[in-house]
Amino acid sequence: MKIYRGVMVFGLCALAMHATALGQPGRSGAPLRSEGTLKVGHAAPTFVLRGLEDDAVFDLRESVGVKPVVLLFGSYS
Amino acid sequence: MEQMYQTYREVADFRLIYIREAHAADGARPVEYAKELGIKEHRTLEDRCATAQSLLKNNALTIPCLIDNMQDQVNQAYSAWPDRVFVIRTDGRLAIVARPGPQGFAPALRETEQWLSEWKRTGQEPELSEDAADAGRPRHITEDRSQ
Repeated sequence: MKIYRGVMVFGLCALAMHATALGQPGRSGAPLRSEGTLKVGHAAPTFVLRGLEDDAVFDLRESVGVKPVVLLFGSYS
Repeated sequence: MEQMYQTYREVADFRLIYIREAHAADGARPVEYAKELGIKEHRTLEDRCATAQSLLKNNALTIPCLIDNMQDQVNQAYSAWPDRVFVIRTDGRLAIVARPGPQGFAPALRETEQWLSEWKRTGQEPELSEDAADAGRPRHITEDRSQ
């Protein structure tokens, strides 16, 4: 009976740890993939970022209204 | 991607936004070439800029590149990790919202090319689908280069 209880406790602990891990970011803190809440027709979140090459500031608010804007997010890996 | 940029750069404003690595050599799910090239998680903005420079150089990309800050604010605002495509109309509304990740990226490039082709040909932005009438609330993110 004691062995059975031990197995039960161990199993529940393992299940709880697994469930917790599923809700956490990756081992390195990498974000889990999420589609978020943005949909077609929503206002694009504005932002200001500096360019890589010329160090010029890009303000999305200034670009919108002139031409459509294509944003390509990514990384090397 | 580069070919699309060269074809439509006169009629649309392209920006490549470099965000945190998807499969860095020291990350949770490293890919082999990240190990070979020594692509690691960015500790500083300089790390991120250097890796972005390598990407552009090694792939002959000339698309203007922006660097997300170390708080990943733009990445988070767009839920863009690991990679994602968006097209913004001239009225500031989203015309194309791709699924994140490689499954969404290639189809989104094709959809973007079709969208841009129609825009270039007609001078009219393709209509939004009917379920897209609800506009979201815009948020503004100010760059922070203190990291």
